[in-house]
Amino acid sequence: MKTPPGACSRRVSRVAAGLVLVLCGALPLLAAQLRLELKLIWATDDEKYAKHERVDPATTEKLRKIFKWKHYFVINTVRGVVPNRGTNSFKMSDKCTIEIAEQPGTRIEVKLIGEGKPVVKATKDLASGEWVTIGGDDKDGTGWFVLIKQLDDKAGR
Amino acid sequence: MALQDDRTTLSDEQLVRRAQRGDMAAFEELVARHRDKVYARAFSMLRSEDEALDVSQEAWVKGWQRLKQFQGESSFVTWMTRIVINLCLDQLRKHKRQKAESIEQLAEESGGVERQMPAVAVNPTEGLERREVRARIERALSQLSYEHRTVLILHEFEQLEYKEIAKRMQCSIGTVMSRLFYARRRMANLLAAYKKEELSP
Amino acid sequence: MKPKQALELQAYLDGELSGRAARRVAAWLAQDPEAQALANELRQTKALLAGYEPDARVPESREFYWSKIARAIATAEVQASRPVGLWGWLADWRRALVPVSGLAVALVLALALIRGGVWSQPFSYLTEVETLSEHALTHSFRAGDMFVVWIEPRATLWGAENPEAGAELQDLIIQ
Repeated sequence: MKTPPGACSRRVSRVAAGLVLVLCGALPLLAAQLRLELKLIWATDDEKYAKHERVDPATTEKLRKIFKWKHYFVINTVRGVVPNRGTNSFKMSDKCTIEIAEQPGTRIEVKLIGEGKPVVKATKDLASGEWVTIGGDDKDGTGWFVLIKQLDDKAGR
Repeated sequence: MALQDDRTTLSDEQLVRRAQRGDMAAFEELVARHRDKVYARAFSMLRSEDEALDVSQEAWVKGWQRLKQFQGESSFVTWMTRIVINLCLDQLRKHKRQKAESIEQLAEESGGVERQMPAVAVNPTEGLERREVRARIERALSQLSYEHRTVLILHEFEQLEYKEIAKRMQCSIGTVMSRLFYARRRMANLLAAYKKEELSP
Repeated sequence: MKPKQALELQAYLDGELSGRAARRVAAWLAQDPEAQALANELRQTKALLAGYEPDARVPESREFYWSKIARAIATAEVQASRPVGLWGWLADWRRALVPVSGLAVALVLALALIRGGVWSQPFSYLTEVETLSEHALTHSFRAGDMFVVWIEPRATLWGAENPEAGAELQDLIIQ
């Protein structure tokens, strides 16, 4: 059966409109996701661990103002999203996972899990540009950190 | 913010009085003012950043706990320095139990080479900038044993008498005198040796 | 020069000798070149050290350094206030009641916030840090735009009573 003239373009228009509607509905959901970057960092006074990437100078300076170590190396970087009112797990190493749950308002719950065992949980507002850092001393006078930073503002709030 | 400014303008005595009434923020201001001095004393005795951090922080905790006992018989920072010194001495005694007697200690008992060396006549730091002198003194202090460095610090920097040093180090006055003499001669010879290193081709 | 003489000379220079002994050493010093050379060296070393007392700065920020002290003070005060023996069980009952009273406070606060029109973000100003591991002690502080949660193995709080616990915690986190 022959397709009537204009029917194809009308169908395309309807599909396109439908797609636009779907996307419009989805965009707030996508924009409502919390985009985060997590870095596992190792701190030491020993400069010789050159195989690891150094933390960028601005962050190094920030860390040096707070902590005693001279050199900071990135062990792993993980980026991801936490869905609106949802939870996501970020695997930082074979033994360390950070679980982040978004809570009402601008609050997040950050849980550090080591080898499957929960170690610490922090619940707080995450303001734009703010860093949340969980850290501790490591062997031989070195230290470790997980730096958590929001990548961009959540839209649609 | 007004409250913060108020604390920074208060004298140590006023802050101590507030802290004795339980004002933790006043105590925090005291810590901020004097933490470097207390830490520096711990570091000069222990020669380890991590240990000095731990011991200096422990000293502050003890300071808070004993604050009501402080009656102003000395300055607050002097009182805190005494606390950190005692903790350092405890720490050094722990180290001593763990380590075998050093060659330096044996040398001290036997009379020591330094006792027999002629006096160093020339000022070994002449012509050096302050920063360089300080670096050499630090280097020389690092080369002393715990006991010799401690007795030197307690006498030269804390101005303690032999009797007081003996009490704190739990040894005889004779041992204090002997260690102090050895430490001073060793410092003089080390500083002279650094000068010779610099001058030699 | 005998060792005893050298130590006496030092004591004289340090002002530790009594009047009579000091006079005796002074007289000897005045006419003995070897003693004079040693005295000069000892004086020089003393003067040098007096002018160059070691100085070192705490290698941590004010906030971080204080946060550990504040945590230790709080821990010590909790331990000191813990009653023992017969009254211990009463204290345990009181502790069990704390969450209930805490809930009451929270409810009052929530009502105040609703009235205040900030129900959309209740407790938004509160930061809570909870230690979930028996091997860890945590404390937190803010430094500029960074909020830090610091984890320490329970064992290493100024005295490694149980170094195995500390090692275990470190192994949990980083390889």
